[in-house]
Amino acid sequence: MLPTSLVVVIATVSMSLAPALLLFWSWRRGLFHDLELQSRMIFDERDWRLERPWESFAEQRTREVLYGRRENPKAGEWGGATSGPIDVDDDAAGLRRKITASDEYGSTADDWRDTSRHDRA
Amino acid sequence: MSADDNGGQRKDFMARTGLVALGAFAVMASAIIILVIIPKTMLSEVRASPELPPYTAVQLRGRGTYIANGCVYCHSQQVRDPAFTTDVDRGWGSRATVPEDYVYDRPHLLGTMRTGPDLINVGQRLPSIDWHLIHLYDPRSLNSWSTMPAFPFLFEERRPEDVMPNDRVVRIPGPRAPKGVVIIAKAEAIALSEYLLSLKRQYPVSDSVESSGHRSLNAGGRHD
Amino acid sequence: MSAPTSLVTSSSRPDGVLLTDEVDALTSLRGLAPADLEVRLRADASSRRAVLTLFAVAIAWLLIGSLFGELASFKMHWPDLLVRQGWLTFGRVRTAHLHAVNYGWATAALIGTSLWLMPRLVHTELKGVFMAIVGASLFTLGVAIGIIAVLAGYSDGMEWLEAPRYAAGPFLVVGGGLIGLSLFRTVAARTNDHLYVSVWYILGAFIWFPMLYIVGKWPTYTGVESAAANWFFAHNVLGFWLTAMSVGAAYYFIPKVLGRPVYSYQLSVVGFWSLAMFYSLNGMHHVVGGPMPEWMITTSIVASVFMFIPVIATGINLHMTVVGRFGALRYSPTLRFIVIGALCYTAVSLQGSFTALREVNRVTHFTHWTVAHSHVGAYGFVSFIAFGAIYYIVPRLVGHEWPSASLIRWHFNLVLGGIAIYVLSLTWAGVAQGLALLDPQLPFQVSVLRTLPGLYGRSLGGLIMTLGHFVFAYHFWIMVRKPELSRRNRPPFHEAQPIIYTAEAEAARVGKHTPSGGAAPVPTMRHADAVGAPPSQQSLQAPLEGGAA
Repeated sequence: MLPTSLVVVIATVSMSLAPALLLFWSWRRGLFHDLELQSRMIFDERDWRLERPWESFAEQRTREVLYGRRENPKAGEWGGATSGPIDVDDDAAGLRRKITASDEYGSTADDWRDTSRHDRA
Repeated sequence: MSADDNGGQRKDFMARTGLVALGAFAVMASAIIILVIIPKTMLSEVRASPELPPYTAVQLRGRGTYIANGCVYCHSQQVRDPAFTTDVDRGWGSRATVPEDYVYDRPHLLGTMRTGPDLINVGQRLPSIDWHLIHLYDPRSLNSWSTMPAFPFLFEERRPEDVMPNDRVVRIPGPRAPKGVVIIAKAEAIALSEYLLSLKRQYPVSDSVESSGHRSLNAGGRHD
Repeated sequence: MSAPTSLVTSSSRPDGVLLTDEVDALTSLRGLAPADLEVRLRADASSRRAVLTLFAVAIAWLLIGSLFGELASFKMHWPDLLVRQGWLTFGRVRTAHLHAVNYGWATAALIGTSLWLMPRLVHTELKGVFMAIVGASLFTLGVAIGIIAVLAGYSDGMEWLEAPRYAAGPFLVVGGGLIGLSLFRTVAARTNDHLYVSVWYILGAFIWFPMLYIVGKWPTYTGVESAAANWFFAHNVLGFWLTAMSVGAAYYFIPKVLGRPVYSYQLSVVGFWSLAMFYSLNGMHHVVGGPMPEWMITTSIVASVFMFIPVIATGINLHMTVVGRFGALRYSPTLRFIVIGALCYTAVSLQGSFTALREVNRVTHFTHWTVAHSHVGAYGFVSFIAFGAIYYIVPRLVGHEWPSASLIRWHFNLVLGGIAIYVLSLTWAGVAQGLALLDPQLPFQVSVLRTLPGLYGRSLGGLIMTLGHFVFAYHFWIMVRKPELSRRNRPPFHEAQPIIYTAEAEAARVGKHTPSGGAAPVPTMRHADAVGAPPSQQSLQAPLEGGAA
């Protein structure tokens, strides 16, 4: 099924070469230099600090160190609903976890589901 | 530090709304030129064969009914190259259809589904208007396996005594015939059937490059 | 608390963990685009009415479109169902379904999502809110006029373009134009120097759709040039309208929920421009083998295969961002829907590239395979992303979470199960049909009879999906109209006070639900999530100092 006709060759070349050159030229001109920054612009302070229950303890700790005291997710933070009995004093969005009282958020690793094992990419 | 001071450096390519918008417009415009404008210019030179008459007024009305009832969603109107596939072997035409065959079609009805058979040559295959009228009223009276919808609203049911001499009576065969009423074809049904009968594209077309570029390129371009 | 130089042992370095020297870079990054809470709330507040209106309209169209679709599906295997009325004939009901779900549901839901996204992305309020609402109303009216006209027997004849150009066209054009204008004004009023990828896609969609519409609705085509214009429009409306807004939404929600930037922003540039370049030339793959100049069809086949590039670029970005974080799908319905949507995007595009090849097209063209393929795209990809977006956005507009986790679960399971049954039945039916049609020894009726089981399967799948839509619509209704049913409505969403358990509080909570005597659980507030007030100075300036509040 390998294409052989002239039309295909011309179409391939025109569709790939010109835009590739344009992008390459733009890159050489430095027009893509701070792209990485743009990938972070949708986040605010709260997003960086937000506690995400699926993250491993190490990841949570990193966030805390880098961005400050972690924030609890609000109810329905990620588009869901809280299931379970209504409890006035219970806030975390459907999570059932305990933090043993301490002045720091320095919980032991046991308090967290250890998800680090299946977090490898 | 101001919100978005990127240190006085030149703004990124993708951060310039105007450039991105212009680029988007340009890409689409070039595609329109390649796939719509250039073909339109090329195809405007295509002329119908003298063996293909334009649609008559009745046939055009019938074509309108074909469009209004969405026949195109189950029926195609194109015969593909016999070297490519089996449309011709199946009896849907003696040759592949070419752009000249569609000069009078506004808009095209090429279709993309074959829930039902291809119709571009149905006028040749099924040249009886009565067949079409019966089939439109109740497809299953002719083909029990058919899943085509019935179109009774294109017909009237009258008591036998109310039939006028000019009425087009449709006699439904078999056990599915309605009892006690006479089926009269409305003008729409007759026009639609006339349109179907006009679908014949078997006349020979020249192989020359001017005619369409379709057949001549076909020979070389099949390997893609 | 000072920043440690290393947080984890050397044997594991989960993604997201950074060393000290990278921390400085990040600190400066944050200063670049502080979409702080205030800005975000103002953005949400400005778009609230327009977005909620559009979502309500979209969901209404979803129900209408689902019913039309289900009826059309029944008619394909029960052809004598409801044939006496012209307005219910299959050919018109099918078109009504297509318009209601694509121009009604998908378009309205994605426009609503875009109107919510844009202010957030450019850190400003939505400009021209009234214009957007008027535009949305006019557009909806246009779609409704188009559908009513088609049911009454007035069709402009080309697939995807049936709505009569002079009856419905003005409403669609003016309405869509007003919405686009609102979006463009919002972008023009932006306060930051950076455009996130979603902005390119949304901007692109609103530049491209008018161009496509003009090409599609141009009144002077004849013969096969009308076919070229038809399939140019119909294919590109998928890629440059529905896909563009959907991919734009996915690029926002996936990183946002995960708190993790897109895998490779450079790839997103490649993805955007290669999508624009190659998708636009795909259209003629709908007429492979047809009476069109060969070079056009070949160009489209080549372009269809080249679609591998943008699809893989986008696929890498969206999937690799999630890899390692699949646990998040347990917590976020938004992510569940959008990740599946992104997977379906990759799947449907690869499927499309494959199907454009002549040898494959020979089997699949004119069969139900195409219908299955189109539903993987318009439903598995576009609609799922719309569902996910709605689940994320609406709580932020009404101030409380969704009332029922179980209704979300039902919705998700029903529509996922439904579309799986749908696609599997119809793909199988399509291949059976195609193979039967290819054999000239087999009479035509064989192809019809072989598809019947698949058609029943499709009706079943569609029925399950429709049920899911009714569940979703009901949930949306009570979400918006009955806030008291939302468990977390006290206090309101954006003023929720987080509470940390102490040992006594936990014991008391487990013991009884109602407070009594001295054993009443005492909420201990560790920090207030002050809303409306600017983020505390401390937390902004002293992240590395541990930010003791």
